[in-house]
Amino acid sequence: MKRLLVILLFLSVIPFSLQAQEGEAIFIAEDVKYDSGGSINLIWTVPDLEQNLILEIFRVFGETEGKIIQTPDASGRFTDRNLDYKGSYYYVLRAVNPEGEIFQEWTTETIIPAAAWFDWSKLIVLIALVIIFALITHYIKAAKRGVEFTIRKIPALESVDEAIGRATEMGKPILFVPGIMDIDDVQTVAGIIILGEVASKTAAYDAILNVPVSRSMVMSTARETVKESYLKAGRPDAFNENMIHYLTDDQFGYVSGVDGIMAREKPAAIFMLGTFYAESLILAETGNSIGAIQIAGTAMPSQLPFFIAACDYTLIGEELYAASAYLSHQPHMLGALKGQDMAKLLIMVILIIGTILTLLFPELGIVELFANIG
Amino acid sequence: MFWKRQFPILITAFVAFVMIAAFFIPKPNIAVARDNLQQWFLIVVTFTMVLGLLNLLLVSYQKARRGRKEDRFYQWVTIAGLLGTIIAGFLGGGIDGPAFDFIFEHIYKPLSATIFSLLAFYVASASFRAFRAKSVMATILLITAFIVMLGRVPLGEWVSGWLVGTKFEFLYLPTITDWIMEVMNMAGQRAVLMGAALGLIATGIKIILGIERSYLGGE
Amino acid sequence: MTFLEKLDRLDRRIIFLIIGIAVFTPLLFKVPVKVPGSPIVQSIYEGIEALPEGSIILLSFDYDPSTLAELQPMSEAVVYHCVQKKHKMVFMGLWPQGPKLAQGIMDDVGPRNNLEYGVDYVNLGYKTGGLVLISSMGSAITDPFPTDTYGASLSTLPLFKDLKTLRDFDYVVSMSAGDPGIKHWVMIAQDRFKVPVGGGVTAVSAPAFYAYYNSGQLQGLMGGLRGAAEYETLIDVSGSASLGMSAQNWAHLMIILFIIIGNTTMLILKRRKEKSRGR
Repeated sequence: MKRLLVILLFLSVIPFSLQAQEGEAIFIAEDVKYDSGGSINLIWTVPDLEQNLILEIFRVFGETEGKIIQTPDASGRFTDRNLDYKGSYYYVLRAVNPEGEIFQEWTTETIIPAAAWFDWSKLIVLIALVIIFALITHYIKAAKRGVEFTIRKIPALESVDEAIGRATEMGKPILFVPGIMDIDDVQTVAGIIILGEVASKTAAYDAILNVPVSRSMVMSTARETVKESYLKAGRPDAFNENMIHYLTDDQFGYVSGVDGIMAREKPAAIFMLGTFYAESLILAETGNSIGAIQIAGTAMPSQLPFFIAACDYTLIGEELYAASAYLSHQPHMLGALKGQDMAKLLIMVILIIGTILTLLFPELGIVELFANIG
Repeated sequence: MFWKRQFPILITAFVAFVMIAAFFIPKPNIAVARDNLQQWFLIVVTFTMVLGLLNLLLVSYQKARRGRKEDRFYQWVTIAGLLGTIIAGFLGGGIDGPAFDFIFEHIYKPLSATIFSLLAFYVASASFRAFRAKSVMATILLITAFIVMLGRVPLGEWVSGWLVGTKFEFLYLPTITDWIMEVMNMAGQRAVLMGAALGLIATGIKIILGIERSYLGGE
Repeated sequence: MTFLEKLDRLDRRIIFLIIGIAVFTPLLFKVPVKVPGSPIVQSIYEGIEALPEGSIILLSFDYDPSTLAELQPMSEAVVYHCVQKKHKMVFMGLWPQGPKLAQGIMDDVGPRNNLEYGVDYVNLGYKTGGLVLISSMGSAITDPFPTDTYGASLSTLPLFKDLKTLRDFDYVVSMSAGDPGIKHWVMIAQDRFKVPVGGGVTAVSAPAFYAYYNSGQLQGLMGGLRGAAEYETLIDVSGSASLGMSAQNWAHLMIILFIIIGNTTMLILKRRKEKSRGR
């Protein structure tokens, strides 16, 4: 709202300020607000600029003076960038003829292109972040105090036991694909968290687990997670580091590697949980062709239809992130999930109110509040 | 235990704080700190690539020696491909050298394109299986798929082109397709995106607060 | 198993064979199919068209040879457009193989149009990092790219005389097959540095980007081969996308036929079952 008011104020002042000094030239330099420093906005208007004259703007920094712009336009705007954010600058506007003779000259005040302490254009993001943070921590605390939260049944996660059990009965391996992205992708982290739960079960059932990965960092992380699960299940002897092995970083190289494993080893259960792109259908169809139970999950909206078409169960979007709470049933995890749901409710309410207000009163400019928030 | 549990969580919290602060505070010093941390990540990633490479060699070699007989050939192909490319890179004049160029142009390019083109075949087999009018919802899905598939190729224009200029122009297939993609599809995508974004934020907060620790190897 | 039951559970290899024939045959005859530009493709075309001559366009090749068939025609079309408009081009890639694919286009387009390297176009090459890389280009392009892909210092190239940061580009075009890609350009170049971003993605991932287009974060989008063919129509060039459209046409037709067959057999079998139960 504040930004909106500032914009309105600014817009209303411009015509007055220009009218008030009609006939006089205006040449202003002002610091670009809310930026990381180093930028100055220049605004100029020279009424009655003779036709044979052009305008040249010079930047003066200490002893050095340099031309930054040359234009025949009598009025305009320019942002001078890449300046020293601690330095003092002033600008000189000169009206010159083609021979370079100076006819008139204007100078701005000295200005420092300072860096701001807070980017006010991002205020709404900060407020949203604080609210979501508060909601999640509130419900985590509530869970720790003993408040119980229930969670709806998610068929894909209910069937994890069934899939592992079936693979164990058949004496066939279980294949776990944690997506094709690195560990800095939260979907990959979510996949690894579920891998931990799956590994606990494969350790308990003594099933064969195979985790081909496409990133070395994911390999190291997944190894630690699976090792811990085997330790906790009392089966450290059954853990073998090479259960989790690296194939290649290359997207389709990885796909052919995994498809090869599927075709040769014929796993009875396949988990595909993480970030997937165009390879989703290639993996899922190959898995389908060998008759494996397939449980997939991703937050990539464009890949979900492929998983739904070719897999037995699919975790859609946020269900992937909820899986660790669902499988572990730890109170504080359920609390965090509750907090997340409340945040979603809040967003839904804001969306509905915002939509109604925008439809009924477009002049309020509510959409503007959310534009350019970076 | 401190180095394996608390220390990584402390690093996570510190880095997260710097990254969040850098988003809201435009001061150059914070941006420098953020850039440095991001550079560190890149350096760590680069080193782990060696780890992956060695693991691939080791696992493939073990399987080539002791794995199932029928699989051994593939393991040797992997090892030969890996070492062959490295040798071509080092001895054949780097990545712009003729040997590496040959591998890129005549082996890597066609192989990658082949795997991607499998999609065309798999889309057909998956559609044949999945698009069945088993229920009302499935029938709606089927009809929508029909319209979009027709509307995305010139066939749709030929079939419904005669409608243009009549009062039934709104039934022109490319127009309906665009509407389905930009309104119906986008609404659904946005809902999934918002839910997923919230899940992402919540997971991020859990990781920052040290509630979610399973990625570090346990509770 | 009756014929209908066999048809109902049609062997996937038969489907593959028919699709193979449907795609391959039209490609043999090389019949280009013109596709009119849709608004989403039109807007990226207009974005580049509206820029004054000599504007600097950043073209990021964020894909590898696997998606060449879909994305290379888009890249070619945008490059042809930039050449038509006499814009300067800077190539780079968030994917390792991207710049090599850009070089492939320029090896052909450059000499034909008398373009001079370093003045009319520059290839920065590949650097790892994705989002981080784009972000650091916002501070200074020379931070991640002190030299171009051939090792020449950027300060020695005339094109980089006034080109210092990401903000100095007039337009960013990302041809993207996944991650890192166009989403990251939107997040940093458009959202943070306010440089307009347009581009192209594979048909499979196109639906996900409509949200960015409708919110104005993405200026325009080419989705798959059709998107490229539309762009070719707009710049009045008959390229590889227009040629590929007839193959796509037939492939879609075959898939539609398969769906009809699947549903018809399913319905007949269902009716028969109900009848036999009724007896």
